[in-house]
Amino acid sequence: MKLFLKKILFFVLPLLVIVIMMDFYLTNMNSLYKEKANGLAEHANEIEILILGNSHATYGVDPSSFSIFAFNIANVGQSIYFDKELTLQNLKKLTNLKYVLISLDYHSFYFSSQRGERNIWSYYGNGIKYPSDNYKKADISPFLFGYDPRVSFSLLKKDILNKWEFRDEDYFIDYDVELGVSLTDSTVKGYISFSGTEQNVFNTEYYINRIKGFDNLINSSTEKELVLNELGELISTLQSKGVKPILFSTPTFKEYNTFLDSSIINNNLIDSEILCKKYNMEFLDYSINHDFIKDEFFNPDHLNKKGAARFSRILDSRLKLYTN
Amino acid sequence: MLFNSIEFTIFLPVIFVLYWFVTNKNLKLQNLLLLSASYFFYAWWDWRFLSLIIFSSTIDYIVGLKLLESTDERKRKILLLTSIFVNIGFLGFFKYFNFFSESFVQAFTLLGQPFEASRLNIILPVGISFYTFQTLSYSIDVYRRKIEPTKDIISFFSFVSFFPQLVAGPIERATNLLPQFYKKRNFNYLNAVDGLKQILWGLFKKVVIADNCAIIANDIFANYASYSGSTLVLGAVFFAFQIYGDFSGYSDIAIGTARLFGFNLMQNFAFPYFSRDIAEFWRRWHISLSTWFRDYLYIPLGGSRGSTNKKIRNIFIIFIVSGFWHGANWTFIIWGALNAIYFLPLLLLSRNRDNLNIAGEGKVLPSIRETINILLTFSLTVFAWIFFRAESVTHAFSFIKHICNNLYIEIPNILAVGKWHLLITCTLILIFTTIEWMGREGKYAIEKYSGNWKRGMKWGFYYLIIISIFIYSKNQQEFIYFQF
Repeated sequence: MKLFLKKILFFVLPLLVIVIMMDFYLTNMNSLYKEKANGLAEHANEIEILILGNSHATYGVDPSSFSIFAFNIANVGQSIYFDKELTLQNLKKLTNLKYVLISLDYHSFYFSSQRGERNIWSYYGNGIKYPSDNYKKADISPFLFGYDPRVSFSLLKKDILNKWEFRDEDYFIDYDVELGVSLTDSTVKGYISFSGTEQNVFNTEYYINRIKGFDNLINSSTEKELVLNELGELISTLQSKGVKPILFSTPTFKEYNTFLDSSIINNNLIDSEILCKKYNMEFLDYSINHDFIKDEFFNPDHLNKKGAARFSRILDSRLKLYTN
Repeated sequence: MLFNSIEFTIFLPVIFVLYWFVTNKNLKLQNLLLLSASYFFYAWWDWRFLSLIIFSSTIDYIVGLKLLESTDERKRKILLLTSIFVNIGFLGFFKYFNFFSESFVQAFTLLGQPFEASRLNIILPVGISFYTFQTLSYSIDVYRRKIEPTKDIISFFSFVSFFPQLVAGPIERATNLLPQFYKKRNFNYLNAVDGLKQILWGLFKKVVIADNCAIIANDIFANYASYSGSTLVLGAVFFAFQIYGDFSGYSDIAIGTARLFGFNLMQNFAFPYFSRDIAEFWRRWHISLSTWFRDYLYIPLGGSRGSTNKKIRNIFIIFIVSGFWHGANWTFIIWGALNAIYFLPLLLLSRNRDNLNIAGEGKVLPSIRETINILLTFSLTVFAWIFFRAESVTHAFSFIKHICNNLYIEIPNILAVGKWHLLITCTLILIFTTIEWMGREGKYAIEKYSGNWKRGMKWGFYYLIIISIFIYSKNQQEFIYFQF
């Protein structure tokens, strides 16, 4: 028995060392969540426009295209609950805040908890917890229970390649960005863009499958009431502090739009109209704007850098109407 | 509690230490610890269903004792029927109630007498099909006077609920497992190391092979209408590896865990995909269930003796019942019937015992004839798996129809995963199959691996397996056989 336990101990020891080292690395690693949270804290007293939402706003609204200081705190798969918490927890520090742009998309009303592991990743970056989630395991080991070993190893690989300059170019990004983001890019005012256009996803099959994913989420969702309440709470708190909340949606590709479920779109419109009436606010709905061409999209429902710049200028000119 | 969960990673060493260091001097205490651990393990899913296991165990314990006391054959038969009625009754209610009520409604509707029957919202208790068969085998063996009924209630209850094999087998016989609870177990270093190796290989099969294949197979079966015939065939092949990795992986973990506690469980899988005919496949696939049906159903029905009609009847009964055991769905019944059809020619031509040895025994590669037979058997099995995997009979037939109508070969473009993921999964299957082939003479693939290797190489091999388990641990899917 002694021999067995001794050998087990020797065998397990290197694995334990790997886990501890990976946990140390992941705890200290940069991430898009951290980058945005730190940026928000750093520029808190300068920010006049705050941009919230999921990936559509993350990649679709470029703060640098606004004529006043804007900051993009949106993130991939970010739900309205996290939009609300991020804003309200920082509201005291945002002394110069005038507008909050809240992105509403086809599926925004239907998820309060973020999908996949995003709740935990987000928690590591900005400390916000989703109420019904348990973060005990995630606190014990980010390697085993937070990022999971597969993601952790790929993050480490990316970081090593970047830091040790195994590649020809200088890479600025060493965190959790999606495919399509240029690694030579860096976040500016919380914004990072998709570069170019992914040509092979502009086809019927892709549209149907992409929308199917949203429709499945929407049709199985029981969270709509909750999300509307969360949004209501965010809007009313902002208004009580003299900040103007504005609902908006980013453009999506015209052919793609024809495959969206019209009954879901109608329901969304009814809900957003009720909200606008109740809180006396505007909904800048650009989702069916056919003015944007393929060249301005990365994929059918995400703008690329070029599209984001133009769309942000359009939003900026709309905001100017308020100041005038 | 899942074997591939963090909870089990904590549970197992704690029980191991308590078992060998705290309770090792007292056999009764050791068995009591195993019983408590088993109930805790089961209660982790749903403590309410513990009462079912306890009730089943109590009935069979009492029936066993009463059978010992009684010499009156009529009374003995009644006692046996009581055990069968209670156990099959529970199983029937929890697993098959809705199936029968819906089938009756459909049958009467077809006959022009539509009526409505209420559907009950019944939760299927995990492992009920496994422990019911295990405890039932005890009563039948006592009735047949093959074993002495036990008076040791702790040992008996531990035998029924022994946590390594409680929820998904192997379905142990009282003749093999129960006596192991009576004897003092001594720690054996080689047994324990071997147990750990088998657990490791089981985890690899489950986490790396089965769960990876599941992602692809699930997507292809769900979206079959948008794929070509070749991709659908690939989906069925992925499912074949998924179910093998999943179920045999579970069995390996169960057997390995039992060995850590000094118990020997029966081998449940013996490299079934290297079988050269369907009869061999069924001697190698889910052995504990096949032999259970053989001993308690097929042989009492007359087995392969008697007229040809009787032989055909018995084969169909055993395969259909076996299919039905897997689930309350017509797909499983068709799956069973299909296997009966595969098996019958071999039986009628007395060729069912042609391949009793191992394919390519003593050689590196199989002969051409063996290779053809293996591929043919595998293809027949894969075809039958389509029914096993499909949600309904309509789904299965549509899937097959799509294969036939779109039978052109293309590079698969699976929506759920990228091409890179698909390629990696195919490579993993290839590596896995090679390892299994090379280790097919052992009880599990890596049993005889690394025996003569230097420690560095040996440990490197194990670390490689562990790292791949780590990497794929997030794809975690529940074991398929839990639903049975």
